[in-house]
Amino acid sequence: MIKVENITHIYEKGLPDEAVALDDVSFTIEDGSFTGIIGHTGSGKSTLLQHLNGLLKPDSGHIFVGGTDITDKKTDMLAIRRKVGLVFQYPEYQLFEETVASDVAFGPKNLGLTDEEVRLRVEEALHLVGLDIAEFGDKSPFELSGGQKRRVAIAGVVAMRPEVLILDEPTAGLDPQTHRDILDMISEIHRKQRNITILVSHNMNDVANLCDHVLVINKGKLVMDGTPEEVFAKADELSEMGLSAPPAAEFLRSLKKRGVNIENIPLSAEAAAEEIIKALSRG
Amino acid sequence: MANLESDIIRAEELTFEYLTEDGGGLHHGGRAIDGVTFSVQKGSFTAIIGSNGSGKSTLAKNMNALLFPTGGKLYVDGHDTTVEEFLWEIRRCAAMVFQNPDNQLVSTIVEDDVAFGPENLGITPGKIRDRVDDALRAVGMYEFRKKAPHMLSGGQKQRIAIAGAIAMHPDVIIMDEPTAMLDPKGRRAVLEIAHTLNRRGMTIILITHFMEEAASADRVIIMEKGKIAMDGTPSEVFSDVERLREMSLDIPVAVDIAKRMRDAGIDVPKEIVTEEALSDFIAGKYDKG
Repeated sequence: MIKVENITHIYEKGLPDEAVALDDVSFTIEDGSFTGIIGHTGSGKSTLLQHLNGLLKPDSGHIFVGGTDITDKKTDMLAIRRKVGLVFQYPEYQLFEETVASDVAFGPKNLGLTDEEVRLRVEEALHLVGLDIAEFGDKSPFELSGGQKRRVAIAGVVAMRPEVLILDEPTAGLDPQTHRDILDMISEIHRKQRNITILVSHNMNDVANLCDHVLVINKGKLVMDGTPEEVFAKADELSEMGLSAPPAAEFLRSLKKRGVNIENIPLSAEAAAEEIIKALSRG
Repeated sequence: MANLESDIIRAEELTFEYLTEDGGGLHHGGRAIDGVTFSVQKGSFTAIIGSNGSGKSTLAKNMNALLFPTGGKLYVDGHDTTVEEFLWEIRRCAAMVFQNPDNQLVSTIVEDDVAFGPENLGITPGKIRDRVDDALRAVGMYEFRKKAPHMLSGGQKQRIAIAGAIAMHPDVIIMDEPTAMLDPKGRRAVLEIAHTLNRRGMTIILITHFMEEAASADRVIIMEKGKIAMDGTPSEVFSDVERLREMSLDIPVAVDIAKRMRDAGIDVPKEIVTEEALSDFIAGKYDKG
């Protein structure tokens, strides 16, 4: 379980450019949850992610991951890395080793594992991201396709066996098929590892499809915390924050506004079509 | 026969093959573009979509004479791109905007960055001033002219990159996934600018993975394995849901809902591919009861 208690983070504290990036944010994420975080650029969500994996310390407040206070200065970084793995945006830019296997091994090696344990971790992680070690292990990461590179980068984090896996815009810049493949892979990892997965995304369809819990950050504050259905029902508030509901839900809402008798606003295209058909048959 | 006067881009059996190098020397890497023939009319807004590796970015780089055909011909405003004396005229005529805004800004001040292209064309300083101001106004970034590009958001940087293209006074702007790295707000702003420029007569070629963006163009070309798989109006292209699925592309939400309504026996015309059109259809049907 992740417990975030009243964290506040101020950049340039005491200086003329002082900016409150996180303002008294509290929430809980249950074990096994697939949580989505949404917020427009500059909302504070990147700052929040960096707190969740210990890169930044809050000016006040605490974050507990599985009972450990990761905001405590006595908690060492390696322990936090074991608990929380963060996959940055465009993670493939950070691949640097000569082979796929050694790139994925980099993290586990730093944990002080034996060579055999490292080898097992690499094999397991590559398997989880859908790459066969026999085929890809000795390849240079740089001769892979964009989607494969991203898989390797994600394997590097998965190989740490984190209790919490955070992915910041993991499908940015990918074509539609690769986008779907990467999301399927993430769902599969979540299903197999039964860890907490946190997805940061601008794609509301993906958040609605994958997540059981959604957090909305705006101007450094946590402004919504609920299921996708609860959060996306507040479409007008989301719109004021520069966010939106999934496209099918937005479409239904626009129909309702022009007088079509739509009763429910579901999130998928399939359910939206059924609502429209019902409305037309009611006439 | 194509109308040579009104075509800004014309490809005739255009082929491009990458050469790959290994210890044994150069090898043919397969045809990224494979005998493609098409033309783009002046003043049009064309979207090019297709999965990664379909050849669409290679096509864009050929149009800007960053790459040269290995077979067939490509003409930009009537100039054969392989004729060296036309090189600079072609690059002025067909300006490029790339995916990553951080890779295409070169100066430490916004207005210097926009001036970089026209300076290289040998334009006089006074005229450059006018061009830069006009270009920055066209993308709504004039008030940021003295700022440092690294202080701007991704969407704002991409608008500066577009201003840099506009300042070349091109005939066509080719945008290669300009919104891929932007958030929804930045994406809307860039698409809106592309349409505004088009309404003022600029030819736009937009390469994108976002089907809703493509649906707003007046023509959609789908590339697959180096060839043109489909070419038509958004209505023509997006109404063929099965074909889009075969090519692993996304289906715009309006098309998805319309198809499900048709499957349920509601007679939604196939040419309805945008949310506006579908909304009008449903509201009309609803009023009639």
